[in-house]
Amino acid sequence: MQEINLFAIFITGLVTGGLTCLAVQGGLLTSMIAQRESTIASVTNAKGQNAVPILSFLFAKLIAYTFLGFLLGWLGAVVQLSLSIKVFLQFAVVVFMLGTAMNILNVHPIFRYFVIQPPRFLTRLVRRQSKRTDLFAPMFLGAFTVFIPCGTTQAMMALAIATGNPIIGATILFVFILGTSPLFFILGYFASKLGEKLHNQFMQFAAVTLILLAAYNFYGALALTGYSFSDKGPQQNLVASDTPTISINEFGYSPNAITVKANSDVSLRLDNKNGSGCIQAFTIPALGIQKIVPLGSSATVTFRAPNQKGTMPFMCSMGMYRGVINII
Amino acid sequence: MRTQRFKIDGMHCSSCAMNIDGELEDTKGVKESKTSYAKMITEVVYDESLISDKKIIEIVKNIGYSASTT
Repeated sequence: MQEINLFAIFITGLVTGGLTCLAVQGGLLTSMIAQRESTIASVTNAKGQNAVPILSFLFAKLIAYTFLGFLLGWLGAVVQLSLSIKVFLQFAVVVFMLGTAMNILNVHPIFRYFVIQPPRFLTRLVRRQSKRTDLFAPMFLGAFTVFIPCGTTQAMMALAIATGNPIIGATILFVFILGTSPLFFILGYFASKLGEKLHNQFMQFAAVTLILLAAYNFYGALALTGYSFSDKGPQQNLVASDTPTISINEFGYSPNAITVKANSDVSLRLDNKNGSGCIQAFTIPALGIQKIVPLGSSATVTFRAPNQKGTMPFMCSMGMYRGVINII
Repeated sequence: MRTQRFKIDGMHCSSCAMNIDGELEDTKGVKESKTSYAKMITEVVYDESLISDKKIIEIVKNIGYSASTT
């Protein structure tokens, strides 16, 4: 799940995030630079020394959001989200992403309510900071933008909570904000605005990216409910084992199919050889089992196989890596 | 003091609401400005001896949005 998802998040940042957040944060950035220029120009007459303040703004912003992602992921972990809450959260993220996309596409004014407006005392605080001219001002301002996330950023924040993992949460926001940075830098440096037409085209592309990302998450969420995409029933001539072993590798579970006897007590051994990320959270949705096996360790999950013969999917916590348990 | 609501068009995100409020509250005569992104409305409390509806609409237009009294 990691690579493709992070890439999609980066693209979303590059396009949607860059634009939706630019409205205000870009405005703050340019007004801060304008203030600096009017002060500095009177002393040194040097113009166009904008790169340093913009970079420090973007750098501080990146750090602040990465930290936020860490906190959100940690929050998701501390609250000890049960499997059903995770499923619910993941569906909520999907709805939120779709709502944001519909809003960008101006489908109906009702979708404007998907965009959360930050409380006024925070927006005032951020604005006040933008009027300072000292050297740390751009850094403060960059970090302060965490209080005024745009719609797309909010969707990413929800995603970070849903992972329930501080490291993945931090990675998601890091990659996303990194994606937003080039546009910020370019527009900040040239202190220019995109033309209306180009802006609209960008936004439409952004909305499509969001919808794709939502579809991707929906697929994962659906898997977590235990829904099987290709339920062909158990194969013939399977040999059941009471003590099967599954290895957790970089790109999946191996083997990705095990066989147990109906109504038997199963002791399943999990060996995490080199699986990092969500694959560490081995999940059997139908039984409500989730066991986190950190990289390089092993664990055993015991359960009683269902009475009913058939198949039961297992997967990682995001529903991306999967396998199946045949019950015979 | 007078309270007037303005209909705003052209806000892309909730941050635009912050831009409008910030700009208006920096204007002499404006006591308070409250913009709702979702409702597309700005409620401005101002001193009519210092500023007019027309001037407020102009300020909002200058930062890239269109406004009209409701």
